[in-house]
Amino acid sequence: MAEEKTAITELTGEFFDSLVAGSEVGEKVRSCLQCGTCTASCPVARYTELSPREIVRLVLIGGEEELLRPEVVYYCSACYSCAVRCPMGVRLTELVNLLRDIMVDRGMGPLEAQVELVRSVENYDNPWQQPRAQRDRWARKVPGKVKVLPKQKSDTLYYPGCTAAYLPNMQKVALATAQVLARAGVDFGIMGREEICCGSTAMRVGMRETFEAQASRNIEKLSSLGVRRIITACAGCYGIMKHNYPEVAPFDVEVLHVSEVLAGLVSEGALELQPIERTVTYHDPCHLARHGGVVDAPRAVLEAIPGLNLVEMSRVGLNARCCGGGGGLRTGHTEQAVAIASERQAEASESGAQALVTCCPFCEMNLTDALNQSGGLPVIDLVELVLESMGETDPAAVEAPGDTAVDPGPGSA
Amino acid sequence: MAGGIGVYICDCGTNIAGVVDCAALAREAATWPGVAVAREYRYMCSDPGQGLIKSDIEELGLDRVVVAACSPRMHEPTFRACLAEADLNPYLLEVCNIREQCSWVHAETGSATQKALSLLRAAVRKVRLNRELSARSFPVTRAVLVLGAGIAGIHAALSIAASGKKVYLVERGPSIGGRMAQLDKTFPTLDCSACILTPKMVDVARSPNIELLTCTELEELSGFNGNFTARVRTRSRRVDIDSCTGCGDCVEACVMKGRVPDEFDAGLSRRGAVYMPFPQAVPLAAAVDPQSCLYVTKGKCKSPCLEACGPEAIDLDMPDEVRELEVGAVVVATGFDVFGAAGMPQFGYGRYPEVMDALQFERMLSASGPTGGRLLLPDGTEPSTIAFLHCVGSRDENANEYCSRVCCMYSMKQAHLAREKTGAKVYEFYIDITAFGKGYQEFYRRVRDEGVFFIRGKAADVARLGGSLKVFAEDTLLGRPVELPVDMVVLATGLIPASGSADLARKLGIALSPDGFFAEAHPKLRPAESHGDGIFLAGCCQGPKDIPDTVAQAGAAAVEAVALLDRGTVQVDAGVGGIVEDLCRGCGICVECCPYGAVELTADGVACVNEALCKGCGLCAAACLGGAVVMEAYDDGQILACIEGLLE
Repeated sequence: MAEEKTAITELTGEFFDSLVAGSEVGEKVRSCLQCGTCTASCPVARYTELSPREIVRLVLIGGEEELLRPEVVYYCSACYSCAVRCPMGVRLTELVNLLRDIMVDRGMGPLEAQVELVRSVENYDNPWQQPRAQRDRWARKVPGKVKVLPKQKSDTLYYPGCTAAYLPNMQKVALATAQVLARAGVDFGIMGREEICCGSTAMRVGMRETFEAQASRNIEKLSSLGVRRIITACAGCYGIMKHNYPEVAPFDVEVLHVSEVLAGLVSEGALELQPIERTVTYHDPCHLARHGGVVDAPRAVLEAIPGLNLVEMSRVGLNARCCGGGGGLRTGHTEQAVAIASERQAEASESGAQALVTCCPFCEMNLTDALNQSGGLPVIDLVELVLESMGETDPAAVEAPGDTAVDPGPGSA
Repeated sequence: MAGGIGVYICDCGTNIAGVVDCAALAREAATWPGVAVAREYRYMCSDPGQGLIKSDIEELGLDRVVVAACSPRMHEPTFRACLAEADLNPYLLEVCNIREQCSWVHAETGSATQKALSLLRAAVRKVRLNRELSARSFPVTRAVLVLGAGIAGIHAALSIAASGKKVYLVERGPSIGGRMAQLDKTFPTLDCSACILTPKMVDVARSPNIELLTCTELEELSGFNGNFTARVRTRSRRVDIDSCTGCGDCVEACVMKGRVPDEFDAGLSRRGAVYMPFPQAVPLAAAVDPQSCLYVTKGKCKSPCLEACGPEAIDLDMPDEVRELEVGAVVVATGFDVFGAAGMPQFGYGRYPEVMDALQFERMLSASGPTGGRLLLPDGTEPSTIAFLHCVGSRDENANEYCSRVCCMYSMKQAHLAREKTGAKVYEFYIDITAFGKGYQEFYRRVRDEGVFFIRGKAADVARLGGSLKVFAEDTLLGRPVELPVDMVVLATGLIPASGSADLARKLGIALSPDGFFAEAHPKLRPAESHGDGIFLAGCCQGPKDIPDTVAQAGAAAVEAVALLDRGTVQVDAGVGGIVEDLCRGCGICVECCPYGAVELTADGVACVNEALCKGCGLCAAACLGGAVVMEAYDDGQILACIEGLLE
C-alpha cells in the first residue's frame, strides 16, 4: 500500500508573498505556465527530488517545510538554461539562488563541503585553502617579467582568479595567457599576491553576506589600480564581475573574458598563428555564454587558426548543454556533476572532433574528470591552443611549481 | 430665457462613484457663478440621462453644458448629438474626463474627489468661452481600395463589389489567393482549401466592379475620410497579363529553372526566374522575378523565354507603372507572415533537414506541393514518427507574447492528415490546447480518439544525439523527462505581422498595437475599423485569426466601407485650426510639424489650413511663434481659463 496522500486544503501563497514577491526575482514568477521547459532544459533535473517546474509551483503555493531542504535547493548547477528558455521570463536560476540565501539566513545551509570552500575564501581569499603568498607563483614560470600592479603601471589587468592561479593542473591557463598577451604586444599587469577571490563561490551557494563583503573589497582594490580593463580567465569571475558587481557597489571598469581579448587580437592581425591540423569542437561555458552573452568570440579565435577544423556539437551557444561543474554542484554532489559532464563528453565525441576546446577552468576540470571516468575527448583550453598555434610548446610541459601542494580535487563555482 | 451652464456628473455605475464623491461634486458645482443647475446621475449616456440634459436645456434655457464622465473619445459625439437635438449648438458642450483620468487611476476618495473638482472647475471655466461652430461636410468618392488579396481582401472586395461599388484590389504578389491558397485542408471540417478558395478567386477575376492590380503596392495615401487619393506602383511583371495564356513554356525555357527557392512551396521546391505563381493563380499568367532574372540583374541573358513564348507576352524591359486612384474608403487586408523558426535555434530549424515549419509541412501535405502530397524525409522515405511542437514563437517572451490562435488547431489537423497518409506515430507537445471555435473541441476529441499522443509539456529543444533526432521535454502530467527519438519534427510556428506593416501603417496614418499588428478602433465594438476614419481592417493584419473569423471580419469591414460610401457625405469636426493672416510671417514651422499634412503655405506666403485634413490636434498652434494659429475649439483664452480653473 502506498502512503496516503495529503489533500491540498488551502492555498495561501504565504511563502511567496513573504519571501519572494518583494525580491527582484519575484517578478513574473506568478506568470509560470507549468510548461516544463525549465525541467526539460535542466541538466540536473533527473537527479533531483523536485524538478525546477515543481520548485516554482511550490514557491507559489507551497510552504517552506517542503522547499527549504538541502535536497531541493543544492542541485542547481546555475547554468541558466531554464532562465534563458523560459517563455514567461521567470528568472529561475536567481530564484533558486534566493532559496539558497534564505537557507543560509536560517542556518540551514549550505552543504558542508561548500562551507569549507567559503570559509577558505573568508580566511585566505581563495577557496583552495592556499596561502596568499603563493597566489603569484604561476607567474614565475612566465618567460620574461610580468608587471605587478599598482607598483608598475598598465591600463590592463589580467585576473586569473583562484583556480587558474593556484591549482597546478590549471595554472597552464594563466601561463599560456601571459605568454600570448606578451607576444601579441599587449601591455598588461597582474595584482600578484594582492589578488583576492571574486566571491562567486560564496554567492552561488547562498552566502550573500560573504559574497558582498568579498565583492566590495575587490571592487575597491580593482578600482584603485586605475586600470581601464580587466581580463578574466574564468567564465565565473567574468559573469560575476560584469553582472553582479555593479549591483553591490559602483564599478565602472570594463570586464573582458580572455576569449574576447583574443578575438580582438585576431581581428587586428596581432597574432601570428601557425597551422594546427586538428578537428576540434567547442564547449560553451554557461557563465560565459548564457550569463555573459559571449558566444562568437571564442569561435572567431578558433576559426582564425589555420588548418584547425571546428565542428559543432548538437547543442551550442545559448543552447549548449551544461557540463555540470557550476553552482556548487561539483563540490556538493560530485558524482552527479561528473555524470552530467559525461553526457556532454558523449555529445562532443559524436561531433567527430579529436579534442574538446573550452575556456573556463571549471568546465575543463569537470569535463576532464568525465573523460577519465567514462571516456570522451581530451580537453584543451582555448588559450593553450592559441599558444600552440603561435609555435610555443605546451605550457603544461612547463614544470609545475614543485612546492605547491594543492589538492586538485572537486571544486566549486 | 434664463441662460446659464448645466453641469452633469455621471456615476458610471461604480466606475466613477466607487472612488469619486459625485454627489459632492454636484453640490459644489451648483454654487459656482453661471451654473444654473448641477446634477448627479447614474448613467448620463443612457436615454434618461440624455433626457435630463435635453429637458433642462428646454425648461431652464441652458446655453452651455458640461458633462463630467468618461473620456471624450467615448461619448463626446453622444452628448454633442444630445445638445443638437435640443437645438443647442453642439460645440457649447465640454466633456470633463473624471473616469480614465481620475477614478480609474486613483484609489483614495478624498484626493480623487479634489482632483475631479479641479478638472470640473477647468471645464466650467472653459465652456463659458466656447463658441458656436458648425461642422463641414464633404461628398464621398464611390470607390474602395482593398489592400491585400488573400481570403480577407478577396471576401471584402467581392462583398463591396456586390453592392455595386467600384473596388481596386491591390496585391503585392503576382497572384491573389494569399496564405489560404498554400493550405492543404482546413480545420475542423477538412475541406480542401483550394476547392473552396478558387471559386472566389475566379469571381474576383470575373467581377466587372473589381479592378485587380497585382505586383502592386501603395506608395502614398493622401486626402481624408471619404476623399482619399492613393498612389500605387505596379512593379514591372515583365509579362503582359492580357496576352499570357499561362501555358508555362517560358518557365521550361528559363536558364534559371530550378535554381530559385519557390516561396509558394515555402522554399521546399525551386523555380526559375520566370515562373507561374501556382497552378490556380489569378491572373493565370507568368511573372518574372527581377531578383533572379539574369537579364535584369546582369543585363545579359540569351533570354530563351522570349523565344519560347508563343503569344510574345514577355517584355523584359517593361517599366513600372504608377497610378493615382480616387477612393472613399480603404480596407486593409495585408495578412500575416509565418514566424521565422530560425529565431529559436534550440529547435534545430535550418540545422536538421527533418525539422520544418508548419507551412512547409502544409505544402508537403498538399497534392499541388513539392512531393505531390506525400510525406517524405530528406532520404526519400516516409517518417514513422512525427513530433508537432506547439507555441513556437507564440506565448513566449523571447519571441511574441500573444497566442497565435490557430496553431493548436492546424497542428491537430496536420497530425490527423499525417496519420491518414502514413500511419506514422504522432506526438503533440503542447502547453494548453486552444480549441475555441465551432466544432473545434469535437475535432480535438476526434484526433485524441484516433490515437495521436498528446504530451503536456512545451518542447525545450531538438538535438541529434546518439544517432537519432530527439525531442526533449517534460511530461508535466507525470513529472518525468521526455527524450523522444523521432523521424520528423514540425514546428507549430506562430503568426507575425506581415513584413512592411509598420511602413504601411505610417503611409496610412493608422496605429499598430503593441504586438505589431494594426490596432482596431475599439477591441470589442469597432473591431473592423482602424483609428483612421475611413480606413477599415480585415483578417490577420489586425491580429492572428482563423479563416471563419477572417471572413467574418472582412464582411464587417466591407459593410463599414459600403455604409460610408452610401452615406454620401462625411462631416468634418469644426474644432480645427485657423490662421490669422496678419500675424503669420510665413515661416512654415506649422507646415513642418503637422502630422496630417493639413497646413501649407499659399502663394501669398501665409499658412493655410485644409479643414478637411485638420484633426484639431493643436501642434501648429503650439509651434507658431507669432500666435497666428487659432484653434477654434481650444483657443489661448479657453486654455488659460482651464488653467485658472485647475489652479483655483
